[in-house]
Amino acid sequence: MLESNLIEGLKKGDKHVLKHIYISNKAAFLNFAKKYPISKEEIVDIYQDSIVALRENAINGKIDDLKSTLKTYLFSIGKYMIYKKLKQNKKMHLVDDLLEFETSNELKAFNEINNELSQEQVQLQRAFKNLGQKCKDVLTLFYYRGFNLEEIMVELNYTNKDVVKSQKSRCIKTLKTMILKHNNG
Amino acid sequence: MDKNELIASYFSKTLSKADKKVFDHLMDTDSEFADDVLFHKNLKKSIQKEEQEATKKILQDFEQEKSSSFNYKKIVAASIIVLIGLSCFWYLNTEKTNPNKLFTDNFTPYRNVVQPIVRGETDNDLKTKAFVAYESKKYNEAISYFNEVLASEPSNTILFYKANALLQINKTNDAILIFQDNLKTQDAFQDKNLWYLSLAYLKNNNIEASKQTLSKLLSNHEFKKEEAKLLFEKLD
Repeated sequence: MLESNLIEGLKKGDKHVLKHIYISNKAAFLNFAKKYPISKEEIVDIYQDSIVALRENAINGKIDDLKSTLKTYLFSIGKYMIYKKLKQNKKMHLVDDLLEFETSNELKAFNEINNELSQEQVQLQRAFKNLGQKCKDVLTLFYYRGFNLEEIMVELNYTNKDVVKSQKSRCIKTLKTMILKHNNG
Repeated sequence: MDKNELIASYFSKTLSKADKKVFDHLMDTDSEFADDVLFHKNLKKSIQKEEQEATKKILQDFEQEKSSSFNYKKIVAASIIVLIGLSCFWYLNTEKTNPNKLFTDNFTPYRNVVQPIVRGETDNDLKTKAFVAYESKKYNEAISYFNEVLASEPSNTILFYKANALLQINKTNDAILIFQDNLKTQDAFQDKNLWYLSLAYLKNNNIEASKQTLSKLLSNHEFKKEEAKLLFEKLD
């Protein structure tokens, strides 16, 4: 598969592509991570987080003009995450290396995974889980994939933009009501 | 542009310069507006988290799929038990029973003759995965793999196995549609399609259709001849 096709597949949330990337790089990643003092479970966990971050960066258009191969990029995310983990585990003395990473160009705009949510955000996530599928789809396309109303209309087969618009505001209203109820009840 | 539209454009990054000015001004002067923007920012963050967790879950599932290898011996043992059970039924039980019981007594999903699976094989091929799932009785999983296979390579044979899996998870009507459709083309699975279609009708309590299908099978094919005869007699 072409790299650009892979990136396109990641953006679309194609499970097939996700699996292909996951499986085809896993052995090499585990092998590469062996030299660090981290357990295999932790490495697999980091590998999975790296793929999640890779997908997110693809969605945000941050790797549309990727200079390196996807694999190299994935590995640099992984390496960054390993360093962070080592630092957390206090096994990391190479702080300079991490600094170097943090200023590296490719990763400059790299999104952190596993960020803690604020209380409001946790509440919102809980409410979001309880929305109907239609609302989830519209809101995810808008807020996560960065689609505009017209693109959402095409993606979800709505008849016109206004329907999407009112659907979206209904969903937000529902969310707000859920939060309000929760806070008052 | 009203306030809601301003916020929407802000998030889809389509604010014009002039609108951006209005937006910034409102952020400074209108606390309700600023609160609303914060709400949307929080929503964006929580959806991001939700997506990250969902993706991670998918990856963890890949990991599990890989480690749950197919247990050959167990399947053989189970097949033998089923065979013994079925033979006992045919020899001992000649009385008329209800359609549902007849169905469960007669139905075993057709064995995999398409994709031989070697123990310990680490093939990532979709078809192999589908049949590993099928043989391990993970029918929901098998169906989604079959669907993936079918998306790239339409095949009556794969459809036939998908229908078998559908029968297992009680999606009888879907299975019937597939068998009926398959019967429109002549192929080596014609007889098998007939047998399983008759069982599917039975499951739906449609005795007349089941009998008709059985008689088609009996008059043109050898497959399951004894079983089909017995079943036909019981339904008569």
